[in-house]
Amino acid sequence: MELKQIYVKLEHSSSKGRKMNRRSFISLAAISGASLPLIAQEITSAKKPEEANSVEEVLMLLFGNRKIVEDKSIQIKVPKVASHGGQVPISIKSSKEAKQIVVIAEENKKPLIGVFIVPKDAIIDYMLKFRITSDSRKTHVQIIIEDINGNLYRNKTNLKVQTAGGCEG
Amino acid sequence: MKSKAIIKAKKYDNIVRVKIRIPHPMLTKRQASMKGIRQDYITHIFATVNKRIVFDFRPTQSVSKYPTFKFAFKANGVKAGDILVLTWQTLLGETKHTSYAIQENDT
Repeated sequence: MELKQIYVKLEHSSSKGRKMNRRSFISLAAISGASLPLIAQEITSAKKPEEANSVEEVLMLLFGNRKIVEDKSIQIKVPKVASHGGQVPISIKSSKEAKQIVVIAEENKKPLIGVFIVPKDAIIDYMLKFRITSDSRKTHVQIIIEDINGNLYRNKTNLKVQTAGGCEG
Repeated sequence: MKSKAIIKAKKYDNIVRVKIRIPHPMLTKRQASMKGIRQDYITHIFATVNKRIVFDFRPTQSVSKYPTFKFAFKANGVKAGDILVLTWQTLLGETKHTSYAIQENDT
């Protein structure tokens, strides 16, 4: 049905004396028409975890609503003050039988740093270097381990950076 | 100037400890736009010994340039002289690999 036809029908059908103004009708049509493609885009485009902009979004995309338990037995070693924001070493040790390990830097513009897929007969003793892409001088790092039974465990630590931003943001 | 990947792998009793460094700039979106080139970073790194996967990591743009890693795995039949093959894939679809023979710890 064309817009003109709908407008004419509305004009004639309003029996209570209140006629729909042409201006308000056009604005209503524009809003309803514009919202439909946006809704369709939200349903079809699945965001990748590395493009998420917040920690909550990363966790929702990776694990959904699953419960994460705090566990201090996961050993995280970071320098107290990192000299270079572009090369911050972090070492992770654990005795759990893990399936995957997720590393997150909370203040980064894209918080997800990486995911280790732990193979069989593996020893969880990793070291990697990541970059801080935020302007704050303090960073919180989260390590989340998913074990072979599907349980999620998390440990956090924090560190400071000597030069804010690290020139790598 | 293209630099080579650095791999050091040593077998200590029943554990093999490996240190790797991959020559890749790991560009963030901002760095790529400032240079006027397409963003590229490594999206998948894995290492195999005797067709057994011993290391598997999915980095993002937040991993440092020239990514450096240390990892360890149980030897379980791996001997000194066995070849460790390191492979990495980038965002733009490139795949590269390099190999190194595991050494026995002398000390």
